[in-house]
Amino acid sequence: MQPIAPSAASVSVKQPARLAEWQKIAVLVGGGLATGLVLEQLVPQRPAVQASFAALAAIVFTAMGLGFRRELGNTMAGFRFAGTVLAVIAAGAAVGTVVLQGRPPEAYRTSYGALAEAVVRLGLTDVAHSYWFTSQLGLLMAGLVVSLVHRWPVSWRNAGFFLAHLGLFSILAGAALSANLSVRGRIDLKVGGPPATAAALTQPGPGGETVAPLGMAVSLERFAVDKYQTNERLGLYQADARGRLLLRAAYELEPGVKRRLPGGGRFTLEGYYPNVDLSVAGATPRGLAEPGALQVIVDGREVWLTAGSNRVDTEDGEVAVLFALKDPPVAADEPRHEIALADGHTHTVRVAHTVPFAEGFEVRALRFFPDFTWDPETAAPVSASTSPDNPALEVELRAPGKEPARRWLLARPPAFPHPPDGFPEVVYRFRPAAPAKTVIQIIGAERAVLVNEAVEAKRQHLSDGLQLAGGRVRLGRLLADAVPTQRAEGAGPPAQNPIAVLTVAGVPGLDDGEVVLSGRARSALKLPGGQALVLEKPEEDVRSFQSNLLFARGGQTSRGSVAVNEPFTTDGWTFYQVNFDPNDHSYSGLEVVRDPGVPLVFLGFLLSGLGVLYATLVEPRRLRRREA
Amino acid sequence: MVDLTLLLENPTFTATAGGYAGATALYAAAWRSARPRVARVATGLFVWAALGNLTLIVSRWLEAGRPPFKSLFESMVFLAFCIAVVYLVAEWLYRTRVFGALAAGGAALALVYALTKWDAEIVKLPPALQSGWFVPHVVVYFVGYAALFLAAAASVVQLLRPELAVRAGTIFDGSQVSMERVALDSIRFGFAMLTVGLFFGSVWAKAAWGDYWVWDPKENWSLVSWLVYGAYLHLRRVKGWQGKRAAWLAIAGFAVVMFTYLGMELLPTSSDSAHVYQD
Repeated sequence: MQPIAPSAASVSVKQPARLAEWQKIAVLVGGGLATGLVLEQLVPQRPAVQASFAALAAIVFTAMGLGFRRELGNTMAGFRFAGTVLAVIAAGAAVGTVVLQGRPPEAYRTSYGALAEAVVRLGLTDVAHSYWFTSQLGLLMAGLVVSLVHRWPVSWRNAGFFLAHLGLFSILAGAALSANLSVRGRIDLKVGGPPATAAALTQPGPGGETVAPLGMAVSLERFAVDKYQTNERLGLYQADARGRLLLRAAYELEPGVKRRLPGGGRFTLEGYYPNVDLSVAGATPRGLAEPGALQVIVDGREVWLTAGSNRVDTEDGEVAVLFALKDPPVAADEPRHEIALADGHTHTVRVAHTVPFAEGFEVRALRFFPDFTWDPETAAPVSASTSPDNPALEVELRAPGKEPARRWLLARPPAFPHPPDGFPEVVYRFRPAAPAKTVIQIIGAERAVLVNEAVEAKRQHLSDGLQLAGGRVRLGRLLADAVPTQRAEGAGPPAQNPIAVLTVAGVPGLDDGEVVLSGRARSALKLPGGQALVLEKPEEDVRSFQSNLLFARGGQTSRGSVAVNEPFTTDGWTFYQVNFDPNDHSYSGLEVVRDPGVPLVFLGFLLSGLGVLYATLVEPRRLRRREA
Repeated sequence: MVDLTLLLENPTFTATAGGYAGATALYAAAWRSARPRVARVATGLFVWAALGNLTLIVSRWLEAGRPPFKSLFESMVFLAFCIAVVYLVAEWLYRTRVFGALAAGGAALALVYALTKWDAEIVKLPPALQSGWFVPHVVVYFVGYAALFLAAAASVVQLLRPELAVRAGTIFDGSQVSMERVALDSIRFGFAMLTVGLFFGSVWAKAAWGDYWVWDPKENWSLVSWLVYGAYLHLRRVKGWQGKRAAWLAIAGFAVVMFTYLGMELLPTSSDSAHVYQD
């Protein structure tokens, strides 16, 4: 008997059915997308409307798949359909991470130019809530129901499938309930402020309402912000290409521990003084030609005068000793202008002169007004008289890499306001012309001593041991280009004036030796490669913030507390702590939610989770055991 | 930018990374060696490195006073550990070391990448992460990532030279090992972990933010990752996908997972996400 050759007719029977299935899928999925896109043009996006549209689509197609059009049901129960719908959902989710979401229309015109119109019309500005996206969720729900019905009954072989897919259905049903029926709003409370009786809705309600009554009065009894404690540390910063300083490393203050630096070299913390009182305790000669420090004993008290600390007076003010490198130091019969930083470092400045402070920061005195006032007509400061009734000094603050800033410093409060300029606060002290009877001026470079007494001035040569003012002042050593050594005293209470003393070695471009970093003055050890090491106290980050609430309804009160990750539920409302004001700790921002969809969604998580675990871990093992 | 002084300052980290690198070399050598001892030493070194990795995690936990999963650096160190553990379990279950080089190499690579993301300081845990869900959510996800990495590694071996595995002499008991089976089992386990991790995250989101799903970019891509592996399992079971098609899908799926883990900051919408690691 001859085998029957397959005829064209018998070969072609399979193909139309396969094509038809893809056609059905294309109609279902494409139809959902098209309907959604049309709705996008006609109906404003509202969660309740979208959820209703998805639910309606799910019900209609479920009914068609199960009842009226069974061959449609076979398609919807199959993986090709589900896979296609899920692929569209996945693509939509991905697009929603590439296109900006939920921005005002101008943002799209700015970002997308000519494409903005298309982006908006296609509902890409809020993919998750677009009609075309929710149409696919509706189709997915329909497919889940139909596939569950088609695979009934449940057996050990498909228990995982049932649990997982039933769970997915529950999740989607719960999400639809959430979209339709949930109420989500904000309340802003202040301690001691009026209670909130309604929440400002984050999405308008079905009737366009913007507030939802809570059914109770909620007031904030107490708001507490807890911060992490921080301690002083050494921070290594690196400037990036845009000049921003980024933290590269942080070192605990552990004396004796050697640390390697990224650019080469190392440092060791020799000592840390949380609350130091620095005075010039001596000087070390460097061996260059410029005299830098002078030892002076005044009434038996030893003091080192340097360029930065150039004056000492006797207790009774009768004798003043001034030191300078080159120019004669400020004569005692002129008023003195002292500039002090928060760490207590004080410098005397002269008008039209510049005084260096730590690490490149310097102050130039521009003008002095003895009697500062503001002229409203010219909108400029003026001096009302020559009498020092309101002394004020105009200064310019400078630092590398920063715009210079000008300020008026008043010797008497209130301070003259200035805009934030990134420079530290400085205090100005005005010293009227000192009535010292004897003024001794030492000019280091000339090794000359000028003694000015009431009626005569004498010039003499500076020598070690020279006694002046009846023996009250004795001059000591004058050191060539001295480096002042500072005496650190006091461990004191929490670091009010911290310094760290380091030894540095092997750093390219830096001499090995001791370095003092001041926390208050933010002095920095500059390292190669745009890096710097500073002593700092990091900002205290927020550990927690919590609201203690009082709920009042119908004459009864109750209390509850809310913190991040610790919501509080009462009367069907759940309160979530969402934000606070760092500048106003009496304010609390809360979100209030009423969401009937949550139990279904969580049930779905449980069922799906169990189903997946069963299908992936238990079922295959049972199958292998049976096959074995 | 890699700061090599960190290697000198942190000997445990350096030893761990060196152990993984050494294990990679030994596993690779075992492919050509007829001596079982080479492969056994590779396993021993890998176990030693994994213990070093565990030491890093525990010491960081103690020093920080919180679970060490906050920053990209910390999570990478944890990922390396998960890869090591998941691989070692697979090695024991399947009685083969054939993809040990890839696994050890992956763990080493994770630590090298962590080196470029070294934390300048141990950051405190912000209020949003102070939750009992933090540890389970992260652990489940990273164990899942490690299993999916293994699946991708097995798929790579399957695609490159499947017969190489049989000739390698690295199989304990002489039986043949199907890379495809290893990949499928790993994906099943990894998918289960992704599912549980996704649900843990949603329950936590509800407690923290008041909503279980906010279409955050990270959530979206977690969903996409989950769907890709869901598709893999369905296509295998329902459509009989196997061989090269399945292997490529396993590799593509892992690429999606890695993008979900590391690529969020590349997205224009990254500022909308609460999940993006900050540099």
